[in-house]
Amino acid sequence: MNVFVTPAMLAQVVVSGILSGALYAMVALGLALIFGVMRIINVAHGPLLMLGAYTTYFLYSALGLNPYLTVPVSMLALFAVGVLLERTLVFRVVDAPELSSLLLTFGISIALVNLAQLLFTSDLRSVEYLTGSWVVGPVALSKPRLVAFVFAGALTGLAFLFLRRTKLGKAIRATSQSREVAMVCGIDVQRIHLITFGLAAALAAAGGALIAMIVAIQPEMGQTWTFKSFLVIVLGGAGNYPGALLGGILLGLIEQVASLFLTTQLSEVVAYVLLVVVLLVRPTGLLGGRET
Amino acid sequence: MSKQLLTAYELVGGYGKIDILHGVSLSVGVGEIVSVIGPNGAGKSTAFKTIVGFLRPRSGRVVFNGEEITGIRPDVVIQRGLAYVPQGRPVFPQMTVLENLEMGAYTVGEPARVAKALERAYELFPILFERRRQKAGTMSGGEQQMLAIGRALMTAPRLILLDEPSLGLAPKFVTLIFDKLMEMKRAGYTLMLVEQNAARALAIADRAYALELGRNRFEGPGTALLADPEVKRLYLGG
Repeated sequence: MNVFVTPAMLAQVVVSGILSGALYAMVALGLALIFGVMRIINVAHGPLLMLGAYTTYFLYSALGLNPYLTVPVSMLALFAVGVLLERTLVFRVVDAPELSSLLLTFGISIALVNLAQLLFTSDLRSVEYLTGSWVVGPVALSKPRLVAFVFAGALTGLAFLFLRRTKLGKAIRATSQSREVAMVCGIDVQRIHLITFGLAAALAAAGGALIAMIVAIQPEMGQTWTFKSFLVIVLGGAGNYPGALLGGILLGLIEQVASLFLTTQLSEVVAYVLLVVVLLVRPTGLLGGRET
Repeated sequence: MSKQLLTAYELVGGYGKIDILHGVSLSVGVGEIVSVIGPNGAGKSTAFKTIVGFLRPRSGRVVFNGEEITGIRPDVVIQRGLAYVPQGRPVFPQMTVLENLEMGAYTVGEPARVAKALERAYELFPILFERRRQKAGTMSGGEQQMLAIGRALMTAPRLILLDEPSLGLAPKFVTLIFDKLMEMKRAGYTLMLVEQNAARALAIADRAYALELGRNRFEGPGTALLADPEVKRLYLGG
């Protein structure tokens, strides 16, 4: 246990925490949308992120595309995958008991991971494009993480702008507030489900594309992201979209601060313990209620 | 007799395998207020949900404005001019009053028509204009009910079905809602409502139906049913 914490160290973990927190927030917003609109916990959210990472990897390694330019391509590709999954499988469990949707999305998750192992092998891949850090005073800013932060912030901002300002975005929020009232307003709720699932997959893909440049790419990279996204929406309040932002940043900070005091293995545990504590003490999330 | 706008013939159906309706028939003529009364479990709300397409009848037909709409989804039915105000507090609680009203005009394309509809809703319910920037969920039950009715007006519907508009409201709002329904009739709207507040519902109705266990029991002008000793005994608590 490290007991010497200098202000510089603290500044470093806060900055690192915010940088990774923005990624958590963006990816978790996808999970929050699906939960808010369809009342489904999509266990396959992380594996969709993994597919986004591979899309970026192959576009970069095979076609030589600038990896940052692959972000929108990955998002579009996974939007299509999300729509396909919803249309063929997920729509069947929208009104089913929770266990059905959990089992189905768990099954999709396993299938996607195994498919990736089959097609891409379990070899570790990486996209080494930006490396190194910028040093600002006492704080080192990892270049790929800083750019990922900027992308994640911009994409999350765009997603909120879409939800708040456009007719379709408002229809998505309306559906998550009351499906019955949405229908009597003339909103085609099935279509909203389809678009929401696609949008959520696209947000996961953006996360995958960005972290492809930070960590090793392999078929099982996604599952921890399902868990972390789940933790983020629990922290922020399930079904509370701005809450996902707060939850994401909070998770990033907690992980980084924990790493200051604990070994790597132990600091991984902190997130899990946190999930249990929040569910016990404040199951409606820190912000509570619903805010879409 | 005025022109029939909506006719539901012999509806049989309910939730899943359990039938609630065993042959309910209802009709509404242009310009009328029609009330449907009956005890809990009589099938009033189920009949409305079946008419607007939330439930599919096992048998029976629904004809609206000369077209068959049996089993057509609610989001499609609204585009034919049949609006529905569900039971409870049917608003989007996290949206402002104005956003709620705009969602009511979701199927209306032209901004000019939306603006006109908004004007009409504000004219009928001035409180909605005052509260336009307030989140719907923070308003009182009566205000939320007015918002729900105002929202249903946004498509300029030919017929509005209201499921228990006075349920759970404070007495002064119950009176206000019934006054507003009369005002809407005078403004040319056609209304059909389900009500547990039978006396008031009959008092404002041109015609009324009393249901019992999923079947039609009584039918006639509202005032006639109100005076009928049998109706009084069964539906008005003596």
